[in-house]
Amino acid sequence: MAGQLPIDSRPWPVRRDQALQDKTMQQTIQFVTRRVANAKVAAYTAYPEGERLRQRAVGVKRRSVENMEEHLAVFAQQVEAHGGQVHRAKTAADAIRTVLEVAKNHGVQRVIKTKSMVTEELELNRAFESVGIAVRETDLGEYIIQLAHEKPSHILAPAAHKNRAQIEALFDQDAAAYHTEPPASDDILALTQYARRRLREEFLAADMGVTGGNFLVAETGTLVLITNEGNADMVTTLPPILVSVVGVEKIVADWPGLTEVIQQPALSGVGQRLSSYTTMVSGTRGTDQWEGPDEWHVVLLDNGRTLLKDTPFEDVLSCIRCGACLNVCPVFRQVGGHAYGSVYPGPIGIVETPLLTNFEVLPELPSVLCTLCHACGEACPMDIDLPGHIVQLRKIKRDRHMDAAGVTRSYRWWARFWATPHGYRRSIRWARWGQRWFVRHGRIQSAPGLAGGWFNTRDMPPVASPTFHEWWERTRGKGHRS
Amino acid sequence: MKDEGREQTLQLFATCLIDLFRPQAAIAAVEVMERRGSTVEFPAAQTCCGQFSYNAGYHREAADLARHWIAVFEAALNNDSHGRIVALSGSCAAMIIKEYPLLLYRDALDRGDSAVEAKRWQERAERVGEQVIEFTEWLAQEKAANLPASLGIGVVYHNGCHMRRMLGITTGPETVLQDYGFSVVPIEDADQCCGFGGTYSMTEWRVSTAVADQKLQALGKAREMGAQCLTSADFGCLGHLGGRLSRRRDPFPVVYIAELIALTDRGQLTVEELQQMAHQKEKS
Amino acid sequence: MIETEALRNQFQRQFEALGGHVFYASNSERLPVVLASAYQAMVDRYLPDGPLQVVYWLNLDLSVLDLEGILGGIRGTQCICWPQGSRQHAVQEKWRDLLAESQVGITGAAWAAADTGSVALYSSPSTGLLPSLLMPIHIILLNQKRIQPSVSDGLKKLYQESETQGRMPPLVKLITGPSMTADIEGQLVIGVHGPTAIGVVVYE
Ligand code: SF4
Repeated sequence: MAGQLPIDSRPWPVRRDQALQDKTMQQTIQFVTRRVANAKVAAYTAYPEGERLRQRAVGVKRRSVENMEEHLAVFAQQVEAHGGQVHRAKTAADAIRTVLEVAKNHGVQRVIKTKSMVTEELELNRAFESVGIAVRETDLGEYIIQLAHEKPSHILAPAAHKNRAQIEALFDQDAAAYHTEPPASDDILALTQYARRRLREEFLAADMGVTGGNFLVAETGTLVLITNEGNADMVTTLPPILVSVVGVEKIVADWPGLTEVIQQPALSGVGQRLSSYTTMVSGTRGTDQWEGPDEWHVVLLDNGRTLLKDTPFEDVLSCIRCGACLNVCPVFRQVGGHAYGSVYPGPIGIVETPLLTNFEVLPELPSVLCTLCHACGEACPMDIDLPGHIVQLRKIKRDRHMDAAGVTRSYRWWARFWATPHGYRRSIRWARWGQRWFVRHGRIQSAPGLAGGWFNTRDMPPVASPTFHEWWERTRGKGHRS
Repeated sequence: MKDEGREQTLQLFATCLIDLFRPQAAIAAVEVMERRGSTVEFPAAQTCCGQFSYNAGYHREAADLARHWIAVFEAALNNDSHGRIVALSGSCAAMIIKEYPLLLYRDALDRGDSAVEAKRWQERAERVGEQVIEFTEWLAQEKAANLPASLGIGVVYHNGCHMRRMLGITTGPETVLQDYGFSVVPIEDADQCCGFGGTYSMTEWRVSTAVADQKLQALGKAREMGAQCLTSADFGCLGHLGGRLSRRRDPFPVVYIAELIALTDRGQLTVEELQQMAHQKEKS
Repeated sequence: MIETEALRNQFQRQFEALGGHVFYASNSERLPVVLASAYQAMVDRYLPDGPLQVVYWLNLDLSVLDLEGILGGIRGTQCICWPQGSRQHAVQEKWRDLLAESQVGITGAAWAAADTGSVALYSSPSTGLLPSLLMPIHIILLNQKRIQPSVSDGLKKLYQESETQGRMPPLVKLITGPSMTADIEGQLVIGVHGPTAIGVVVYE
C-alpha cells in the first residue's frame, strides 16, 4: 500500500521562488551545509578506519533489509521479553492511532520528544495537539521551528534556515507566554542557555517521552538513539512512559551488525567518530531501578516502505538519515529544504517521496530539483545510487505520461532528427534559418520552445559557420585527401 | 602501448555542443593531436551521445542516439581493438562508458527484444566504451617534448561533475595545465556543479542560474587572485558559465582547454590573445 | 604495561580533542589528591561562584573512597551518594529535584573506548545515568583497566556481559564529548541539555 506523507501543497514555482528570494535562509543554509560537508571529509581523512567501517556498514544494512520481516519478528520477541510492547503500523494513520491510545490510557498531558523524521512524517505533534495533549520538541533546532510553526528545512539541522535575530524573537514570544525571563541577547550562547532553562522545566514535568530511532537491533531488542545535545537521554530516562516510533527499515539483524553501523550517522552526518550521546534502550526498568520507563512501546512504521522491497530501489531502505547528500547538493544549497515541499528534502527526498507515495504527491521532485551532478551519490555513505534513481524516476514519469505533452514531443523530434546524419544536418539548416530573428550583438538572446528558458538569464552563440563538421569536410573531407 | 602510439590513429568525437557552438575547440584539439604524431579521423556521421534525453528520462530517444553513435564509431574503428576514440567532453565520455551498456540493455528489453539480443547490445556498448578516452586523459599520457617554462598566465580550471565523479578524473587536467606552464588558480568549492544539467538549464532556469551565479561568485574571488581565464574539458559547463557571463556583459575569457594547449604549442599564448578569443563572438 | 599506557594516551588524546579534560592518578594512593585537584580545577573554571552540591556513585573497586572527606573542603562542597533504586514515585521525584539542583555529578564507568574517546555507563540499581546528565559538570572515575582499544571492543564486552546476565541493561549510554549543538546558524555551542564540562580521572 502506498504511504502517506504530509506535503506543502503550494505548487513548485511558488515554493521555488520563495526560496530563491529568501536571502537569510540561503546564507545560513550555504554556511551550514558547507561546514558539515567539510567536517565529514576531514573526519574520514583523519580516521583511516572510517572507510573500511563504512563499507562494512553498507553490507550490514543491505543484508538486514533483505530479511527485514524475519528480523522484525525477532526484535518484537526480544522487546516483549524485556517488558516492552511492539506495535506494527501499516500506515501513518495506524501509527498515530496507536500512539494516541497509549497516551490516553495513561491520562498523559505533557509529552516531550526527541528529533525524529518519522514523527514529522506522521505530523504527530498535530495529532497530539488535536486531542489536547501538550507536546514539546527538545532538540534545539526542532524546538525553534516548533515555536515558529514551521517544518524542518534539513533532516539534521531543522532550523538551518533561521538566523539568530529571528530565533531571539521567537524565544522572546515564548518567554512572554510562559512568564519567564527572556534570553539575555541574540548571542548564540545566550539563546542556547534560554532553551536549556526552558526545556529543563518541560523535561522534569513530562509524563510521556516520544523518540524516533537510528537503529533497532533484532537480536537483543535494542533501540539506538544518537544525539549531540543529550535530549534523547532526558526523554528516555525521565518520563514514566516511553513511545518510540521507528521506520521498519531501521532494523539491524544482530549486535555485531550494530557495532559496524553505529558510527556511520555521526561520521557521515557531522564528521564526528560518534555523536556526543549514544543511547541504547533494551527494555523497561527492572525492580529497584531508578531510571528508565515503566512502560515502553515501540511502533514500527511501514507507510510505503515495503513497497520498495525487491525493487531496483531497495537500497533506499539503507538510508541512515545522515544528511550527507543534502549537504553536498548544489540545488539544496540554493533552495533549502522547504522548497521540496516534503518532509524528506534533498536528493534522498526527491527519490523517497515519490517512491513511498507511488507518485501520488509531489511528482515533480525528481525533475525540478536535480542537475544530475552526482555529488549525492559520491557523498552517500550507504552507497545508495541516488543519481541513478533520479534518472530512473524521470523515466518512470515519462513512461507514465506525466510530462507535459509539448516537452515529450520536443524530445521525440529531437531524437528523430539527430539519430541520422542527414537529420542532424537538416536541423542545423533550420536552426541557422530560424536564429536570424533572435541574434543581437552576435549572440542569441532568446528562443522559442523547450530551449527558451535558457535565454532568460544566459546568452548563447549562434550556430557556428562553419560547424566543425563543415570545417572538416572543407579542409579534410574526401575532396581534400591527397 | 604508448610507443606504438607515435603512429596512433585517433577517432575524434567532437560532441554536438562543440560542433555547433565552439568548432574552434575541436579544430584546436585536432591540431594538438596531430602535433603529437597522431593521425586524426573524424567519423562524419556522428551526431550526439544522447545524454540530454537520457538525463531527462527519455530513454527510448536516448537509446536511438546511442545505437547510432555505436554504429558510427564501430565502423570507424573497423575492428581495431587498439583504436581509440577521443571525446572532447568528460560528460559525454561518461555517458558512453558508464550509461550506454545498461541503457541499451534495458531499452532492448523494453522494445521486446530477447534477453540474448539485449545482452548483445550491452556488450557492444561495453566494448566500444572501453576504447573511449577523454581528451585531457589522452593528453596527460603524451609527454610533450619541450614544455614551456612558466607562461605567467593564471587560469581557473572547472572540472565537470561527470568527469570528476563518473570517470574519476580529478586533478589530472590541472596537472596538465601546470605542465604546460599555466598557473592554476584555485577556486572555492571547486567540486560544486555549475548548474547546467543539460535541459535542466532550460526547464529550471531559475535554479540553474542561481547555481551558476554562485560559481561565478567564486570565480570572482579567483580573478582577484590573478585568474585571467576560465577553462574546462567540458564545453557544456563552459557554455553555461560563458553564456551567463555574456548576459552580464562580463568579457572575462572562457576558453576550451584544447584551445589553450594549441596556442601554447604554437607559442602564441598571450593575455591579449585570450581576450580576443573571448570577443570573437562580438566581432562576428 | 606498555599497551595499557598506549591505550590510555590514545583515549586521552581523543577525549581532549572532544573538549573533555583528562586527569591521571598513577596509583590508588594518589587518587584522592588527583581527584581533589581535578574537581577544584573544573569547578573553578566552569562554576566559579555559588554553592556546590555533588551527587555521586562509584564502581565497586572504589567503594572505600571517602568522597565527602576529599571534596568537603573545597568551597564547602556537599556530597550526596546516589541511593539504591526505588520504584516509589515520591522518592523518585525528590531525587530528581535534588539532581536538578546539584552542580556536579561524579560517576564510575563500565568501560571506555580509546579510538573514539567514549565512556560507557549502564543503568542498574546502583549505577545511574542521571548524575551524568542533569548537572553542568560531570566527572568520571575510570579504572585504566576498563579502557578498550575501540568502541567495537567495548560493545562486544557489553554483549558478552549481557549473555552472562541474561539480558542487556535497560539503558546504556555512550558519552563521546560534552552536550553540544550547532542548530543556530551552524555555530557550535557546548552544554545544551547535558553537561557543559566533562572530565575523566583515570586511575591505576
Ligand atoms: S541517502 Fe545516503 S547521504 Fe542521503 S541521508 Fe540517506 S544515507 Fe545519508
